[in-house]
Amino acid sequence: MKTPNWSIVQVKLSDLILWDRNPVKITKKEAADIEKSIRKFGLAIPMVANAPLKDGKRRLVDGHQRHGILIASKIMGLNSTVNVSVPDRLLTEEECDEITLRLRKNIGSLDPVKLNEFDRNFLLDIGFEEAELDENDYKNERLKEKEEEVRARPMVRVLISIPIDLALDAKKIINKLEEFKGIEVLYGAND
Amino acid sequence: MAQTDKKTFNSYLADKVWLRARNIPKGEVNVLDCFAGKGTIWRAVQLVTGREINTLPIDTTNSDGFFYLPGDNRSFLSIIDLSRFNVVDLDAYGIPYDQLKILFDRGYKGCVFVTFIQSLYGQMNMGLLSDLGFSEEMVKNIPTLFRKSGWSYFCEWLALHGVKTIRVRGHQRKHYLFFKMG
Repeated sequence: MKTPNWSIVQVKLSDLILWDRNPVKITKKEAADIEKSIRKFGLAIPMVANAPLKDGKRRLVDGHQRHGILIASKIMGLNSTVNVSVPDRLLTEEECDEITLRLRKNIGSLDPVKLNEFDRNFLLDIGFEEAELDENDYKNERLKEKEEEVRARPMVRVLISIPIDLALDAKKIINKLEEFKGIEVLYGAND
Repeated sequence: MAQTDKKTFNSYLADKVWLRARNIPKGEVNVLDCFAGKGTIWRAVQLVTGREINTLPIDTTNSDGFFYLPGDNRSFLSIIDLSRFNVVDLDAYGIPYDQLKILFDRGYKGCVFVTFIQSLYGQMNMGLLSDLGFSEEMVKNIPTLFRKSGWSYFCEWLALHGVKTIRVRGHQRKHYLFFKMG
């Protein structure tokens, strides 16, 4: 069968027939994330529907969740029109089933390394889950691993307090002390 | 005794995972996961190594519903049969001094993974400094000294307890390390 050509037309929400075998499910959080996206950016990607049937209605191919959210959240009413991508011939039921699943499944995956370059809170706001970001992150090594020897240095620790006005003289003494092997001088000022 | 250290946020998860994946013992791996959280790290280790890893998680809370020992890990570390575990995981936010002390005191033999994080204004554990010969008075007098050198004191403290080498990944004030005890 001929590969369909697609064009964008305006269709009433009430003229779109939902696919009753649509296997996509949605959680409350996912619905809220979609609503947030629509409210912020509108419908950036058109829905997809088949060519019209005799009664002028079209089977919805892609956009079931958006359709439901637009109505449920009262962003649009059933008489509102939306951009819909439609083919230049009527697709068979099987083709509609296949393209519905393909549009959902045949997409790229996110590169965890590049994804991790974004601010974590920004990603969470978009809708990513903590666990999902964690799962991604294990592929993203950032630190070099090295082996180090650790040594105990049994020492006598001595604390010497010097008034600030003697700091200049103390510096000379410290410099001398540091010349001795085995003497470690740590110094700082009181908080 | 208050639970001083809590589970870290897994901002360097990959490094923690690979540190563990590359250093776990051969054969059966039984992990006592003392700051288990959601168990993300060891789940990922299992995933990247393809090996079966038995973990016994301990934490103060657990929201994911899997089996864990609820409570202060120090209490469990003090009484549990440590010979059942060839790995102990101390992925704490802070310095898990109390937990390590218990392991050393009980003569634990096995692999230990530790997260050492010293915040900029974080005090070093007095017990650790005391073991190194510093008195409480010294620390009180000049606490800034011990904030700067926390990591090197910690390494020195490990050496005092017989640790010879560590494998470490470090980032600013965070250090993820592995070593063998016993």
